[in-house]
Amino acid sequence: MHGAIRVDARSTGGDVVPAQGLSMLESWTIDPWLIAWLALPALLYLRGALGMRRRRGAARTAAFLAGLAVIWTALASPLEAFAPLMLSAHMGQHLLLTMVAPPLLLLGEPMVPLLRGVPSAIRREWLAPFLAAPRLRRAMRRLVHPLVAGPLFVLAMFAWHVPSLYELALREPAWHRVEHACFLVTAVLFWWPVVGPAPSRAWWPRWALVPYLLVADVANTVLSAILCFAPGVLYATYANASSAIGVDALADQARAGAIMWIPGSIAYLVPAAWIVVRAMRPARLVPGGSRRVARESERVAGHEAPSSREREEARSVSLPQLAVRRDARRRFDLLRVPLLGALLSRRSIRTALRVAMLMGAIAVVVDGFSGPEEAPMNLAGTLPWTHWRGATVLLLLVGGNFLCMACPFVLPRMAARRFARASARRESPRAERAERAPGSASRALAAAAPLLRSKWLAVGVLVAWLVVYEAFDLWASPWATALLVACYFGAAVLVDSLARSGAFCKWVCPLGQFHFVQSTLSPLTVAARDPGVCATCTTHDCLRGNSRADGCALDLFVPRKQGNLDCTFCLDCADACPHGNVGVLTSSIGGELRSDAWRSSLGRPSRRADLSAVAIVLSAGAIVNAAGMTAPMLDLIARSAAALSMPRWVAASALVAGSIGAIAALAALAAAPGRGWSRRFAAVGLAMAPLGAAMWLVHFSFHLVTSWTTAWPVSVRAVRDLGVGTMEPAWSDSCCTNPPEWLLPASLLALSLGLSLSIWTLARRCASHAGAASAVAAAESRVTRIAVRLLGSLLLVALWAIAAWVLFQPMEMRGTLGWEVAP
Amino acid sequence: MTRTAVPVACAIVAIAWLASRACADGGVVAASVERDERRITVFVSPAAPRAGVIDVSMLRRVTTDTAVDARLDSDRSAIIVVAVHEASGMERSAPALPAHQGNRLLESALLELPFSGRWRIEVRNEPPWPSPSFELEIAPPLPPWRSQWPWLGAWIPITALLLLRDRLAFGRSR
Repeated sequence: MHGAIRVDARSTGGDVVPAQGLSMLESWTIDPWLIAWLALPALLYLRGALGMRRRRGAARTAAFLAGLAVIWTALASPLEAFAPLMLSAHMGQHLLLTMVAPPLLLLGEPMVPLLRGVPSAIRREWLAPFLAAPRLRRAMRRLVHPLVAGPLFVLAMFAWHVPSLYELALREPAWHRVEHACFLVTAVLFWWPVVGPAPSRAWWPRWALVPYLLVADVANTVLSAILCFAPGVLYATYANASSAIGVDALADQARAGAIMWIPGSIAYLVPAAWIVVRAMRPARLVPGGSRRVARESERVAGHEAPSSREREEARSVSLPQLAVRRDARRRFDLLRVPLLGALLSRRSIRTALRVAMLMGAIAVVVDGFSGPEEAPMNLAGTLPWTHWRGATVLLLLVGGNFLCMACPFVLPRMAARRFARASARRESPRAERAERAPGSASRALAAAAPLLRSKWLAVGVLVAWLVVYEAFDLWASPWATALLVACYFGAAVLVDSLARSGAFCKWVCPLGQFHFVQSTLSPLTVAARDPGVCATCTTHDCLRGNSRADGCALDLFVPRKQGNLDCTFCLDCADACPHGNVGVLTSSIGGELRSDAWRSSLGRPSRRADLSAVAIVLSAGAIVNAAGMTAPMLDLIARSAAALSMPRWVAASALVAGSIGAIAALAALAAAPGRGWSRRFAAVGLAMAPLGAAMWLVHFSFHLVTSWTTAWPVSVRAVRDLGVGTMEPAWSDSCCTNPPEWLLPASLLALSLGLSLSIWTLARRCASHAGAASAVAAAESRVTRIAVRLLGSLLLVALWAIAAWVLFQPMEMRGTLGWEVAP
Repeated sequence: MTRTAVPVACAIVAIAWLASRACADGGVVAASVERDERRITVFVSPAAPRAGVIDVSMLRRVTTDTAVDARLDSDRSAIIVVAVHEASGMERSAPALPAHQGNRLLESALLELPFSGRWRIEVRNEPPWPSPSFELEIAPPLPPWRSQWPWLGAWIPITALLLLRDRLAFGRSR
């Protein structure tokens, strides 16, 4: 079959592609990650350079951007594609990474613009501590000492050309990346003393860099000569691979040596010669008659020469001081974003959002009661459990509590309250008599008043919600879902018509508690734009309200409000503020969990065990709720029910409630050492919030990503049932979608971030207790604090391990036709 | 100096260890056959293949042509890569398609091999191109948690960074 038939391509009538090298030139790699990694410093540099008062030369900006472009060329061009086949291509790649890109990057003097380009909050919060640390500063300064940087660079060059290491890099892409990173980093360190980017100070006089460069050139020459004159192929991979494209491996190796030798030597010798030429020039007087002499030889090879005064200014910049400096730019304010800000500022638009959500909720209730019983074919079986939950958690973590802003329950509650007030005015004598009568609503409310002063009622409702969801498979029953939503409306209307406005949101609503706790990790918060304006304000309309708008129904006073706890983003405070001083501003993610500062309407979180209990129930609930759809947990519930001869729902309820209770008990135990238990319980409880938020994100994202297409056929069916359309629903869109490959890594990364934030929060809260002035805090020994941190961290790691285990289990594909267990 | 050296040394060891655990997808030359002045070289990646998806890439060349990338489009025929599990006889096949990015000289087939063990890989070419075949030892798949170790272990360096930041910002006393 595969006989030796000689076919000359030129005689077959086929077109021989004449463009020699065409395929090579086409062999570019488009790697979005590489582009993102290079675009980020470019954008930061441009942002920083444009924001500087004294504009920098265009040449510096061009040099920095060219340096990034050279790195991209090295890693995405045909040099990268052919590096595994030709040593010469690989050498060209290394030459760009070590000889061309680093000097260009350093000529751009990137430190100040990059630092200024970083948003002020991140710079002050995250970079300043590192830049100000004396030990790190000393270490960095030592690293760019010529006697350290030079040998490091030469060592890296020689080490990576040892055949075993070079082969390792060719065989394993991970090691190839390590090799490239090693070359780039050591090369930046090597070129640092030569270029001397501001604001660094030189270790050596300029003339001393000539022997520095010459020694490096000698080392380069030795390595090049080894490659050029080696009698055999040094790297076995190329012996095979080069022949595949008809290249003689030994000749290619010699070519690679020549590339390293000649352009490499030029890269060392040109700056050395430049320094010598500059040093030989006569000195000149500084204009203005000063006796000081500015030596041209101080200038850097190839560097755009600034005046000596400018240079001194640049050198005098202190990076730690720059890092903590506040930006002249205003803090990001969502309400000042064009169009979006204007829309959100309008009360009519916010009301329209609530109307839209209300219509959606009514559709869910109606379809739940009257539509098909199969959950994936019903609006009540898909929209609340797949789309609304997923969108909620995503919006909370990337924006803020906008779901409470668009709460569908607000309008019926407002209507009920108005109706109740009007009735009370019309029938005031009768109302008075009714109030005195035993068993009246007001008396019932008075009895329940203590429950409406803390979140313990909400804790109970939350646990009940989680238990009922799992015990009665709410996700699988449109009827039960519709009933739940209808009851929710009823409860909200009842509580708000009897109690003062906002009581339901603040003390009862389980969804509100979910939003409040998750929004502690939101990047946006409703806050005062200028605290100075609030300091002079005497009316406090944001709290009390005025003729234009009600004040905050949840008793949050904007100047003393910290973070998002109990804030529904209703923006009534923004409407009421006579100074227009309330905005939706950026905030530190999780900052309010780490701080124990007193805050309006909440007090100190460390004295609010109920708040911690909400966080614990939500975090434990996140893990239990996700575990409830895995095959091992379903199996356990079934076997428990069979073994104890009890209905399935009893076994499920016991398992869910027991798991949440066990986690809460472990949290209480972790806080047990020493005195002042309640404060440490608060620390452990609030520290669990980030891990819980990560688990909710992972869980709900899974449903959203795998089942988002289900909304369309269900909506088409609902519209058709109303007799409006005739389109047939495509039920194939309602069937199980396999999770995409990126979902598991992204989920694990989210869990890792959640755990890190949790451990960090715990550490900060324990530390803040140490700094507290109270007698109890003072009595708290260091050993106690360490014990609580250790026990709390162990609990968090254990919860993370369970959460990660859940992700590797087969999942029930809820909300889709078939409900198969996906692998 | 010792205080600085110890963390630096630990960091280097950790990086080296992590990198050595990396489950990379590098490629190796698995076969190279020449017949009638036509050479086909087969690359397999990852270098140590495991059950799951493996990449079999081919590079075809007329050896008499001096051009590195002489592409004889009319002389090119479809390549089918067939893998046969020696123990069970199970067969898997996939067509080799030109690479969309990276090295355009390569034609690549993605084979999903469900089992570990010895597989016979046949590259079925139309004449006059040779059809090399070779054996490949496929290792069992990694447990899921091992293949996801960077994401599972990400919390360790992130937490270390956060705590270090606090240590630098607030000092040891807190």
